[in-house]
Amino acid sequence: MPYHAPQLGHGVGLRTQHFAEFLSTRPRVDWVEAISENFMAPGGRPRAVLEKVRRDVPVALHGVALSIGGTDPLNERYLSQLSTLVDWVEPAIISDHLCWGAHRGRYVHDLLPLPYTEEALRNVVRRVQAVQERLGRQILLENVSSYMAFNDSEMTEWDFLAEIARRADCGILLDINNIYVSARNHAFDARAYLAGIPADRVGQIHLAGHRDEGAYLFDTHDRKVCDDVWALYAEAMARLGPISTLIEWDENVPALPVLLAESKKARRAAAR
Amino acid sequence: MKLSQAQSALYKLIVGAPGARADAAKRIVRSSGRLSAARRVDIYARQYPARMHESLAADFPKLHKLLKDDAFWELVGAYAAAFPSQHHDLGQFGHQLEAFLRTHQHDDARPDLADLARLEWARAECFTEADAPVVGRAALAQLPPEAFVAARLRLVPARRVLCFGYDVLPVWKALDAGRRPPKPRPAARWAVVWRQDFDVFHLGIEPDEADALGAAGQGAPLAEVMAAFASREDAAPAAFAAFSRWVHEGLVSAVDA
Repeated sequence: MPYHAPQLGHGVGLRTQHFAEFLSTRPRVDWVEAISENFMAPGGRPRAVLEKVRRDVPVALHGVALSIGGTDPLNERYLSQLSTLVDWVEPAIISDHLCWGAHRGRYVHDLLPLPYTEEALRNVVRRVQAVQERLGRQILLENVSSYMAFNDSEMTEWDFLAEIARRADCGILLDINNIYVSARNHAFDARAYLAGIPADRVGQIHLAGHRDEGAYLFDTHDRKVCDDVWALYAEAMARLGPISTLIEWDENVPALPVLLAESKKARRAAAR
Repeated sequence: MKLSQAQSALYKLIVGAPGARADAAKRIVRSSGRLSAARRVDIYARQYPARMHESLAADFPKLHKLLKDDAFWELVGAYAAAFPSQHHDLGQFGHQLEAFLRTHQHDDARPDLADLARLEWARAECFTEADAPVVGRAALAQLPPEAFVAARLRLVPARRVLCFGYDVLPVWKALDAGRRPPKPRPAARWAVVWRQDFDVFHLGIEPDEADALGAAGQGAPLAEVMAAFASREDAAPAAFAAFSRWVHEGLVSAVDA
């Protein structure tokens, strides 16, 4: 069964630096994405902002700590808090990353890549199914930028992601910048990646900036989207059709108009 | 290699000391044309302390300022090694920093660091503590006199009553104002930390008021809360002044007659 994602248009990440503007005005944006973990605490400014924003525009919840590829048992406390947040926010989309970030109860607070093996695939599928059952709905998994590849990998990243989506019956959050970064870091063809992703599973797109470290590209979310990533996005749109698209900007966060201008640029690129 | 073994080995490589990375990394990670396996793992290993530093610097800004960056980095490294993050929320990473500073004296010249950490963590906790409505002055004034002694105050959840062994509030204040902080001064001190709307405040209080807030927070009737001020000559006016201030500062969520 394909993933049925709402088409939300063009959104931006809801970041602390823009809380005041989101509280006092209604920025011209189709939807926002909130980092799930930042809004799990029961009160204070983050909750107040999200309470207002969710009345104005659709909200997607995007997690960073599910550790769906980990080998620890799923964190029951985390799932309980996520479930409570989902009940309150009623998000249009719920997503997290295809990665792991904790081992034996200790968190690295990073998005660590997985070996693309049948064992890792089965592990992720089982855990996605458990999470979806717990939340009572489908989730999306996002491809991460990576800087290392495993000796044990048996398949490409796109085959791994596509097969997880098929077996677990979940959606895909396709991060175009992450494809570009990983393609450079692992010397694969970004277009082959796009071609290998089942279009009917893609429910959301991420765009962001990265830094060139010479020997590798580093995913920074601290600047505008580069021209090559815009070109890859245009190709993705041509292949996938209209998909909810979000600009991520987490470091050196600019004034909201700069972020909204990037979102407008995505709208124009998608319309071509 | 089994997935759990690979993750266990990688976890150690990323959070551990950089010494033995090369051989261990090669067993798990492929080299690329431009980067060795160890260098690829090192990209992640360098990010780990940076994230820990960023989180602690956000929650302990005055401690960061007081220690300055080099010593703060050192503290972050020692703390992360002793208390690895065990919570999915990176914002919870600092919850044992005060305890760590009490048992691992970081700076002989500043024995008040643990107290400063206690104050800053209480402020961080109050920032996202559950919201609650607050009552106005009328809530106390409208209480019938005969109901007063049995009435109970419901305090807002975003509050902490703290006790210190050092006079740490002037240190915080000086750092906040960008002034040179005073030298550590051993002295028993009490403070209340709370949030009003989106801003967090703290205020030095006398020990009897700290006891009174503690009793009120546990749901004691006002007669019992007032008893905390019994040693004062002006016990009743002092208690009423305190209740009035608590209401004014937004510490009281309800008055139950």
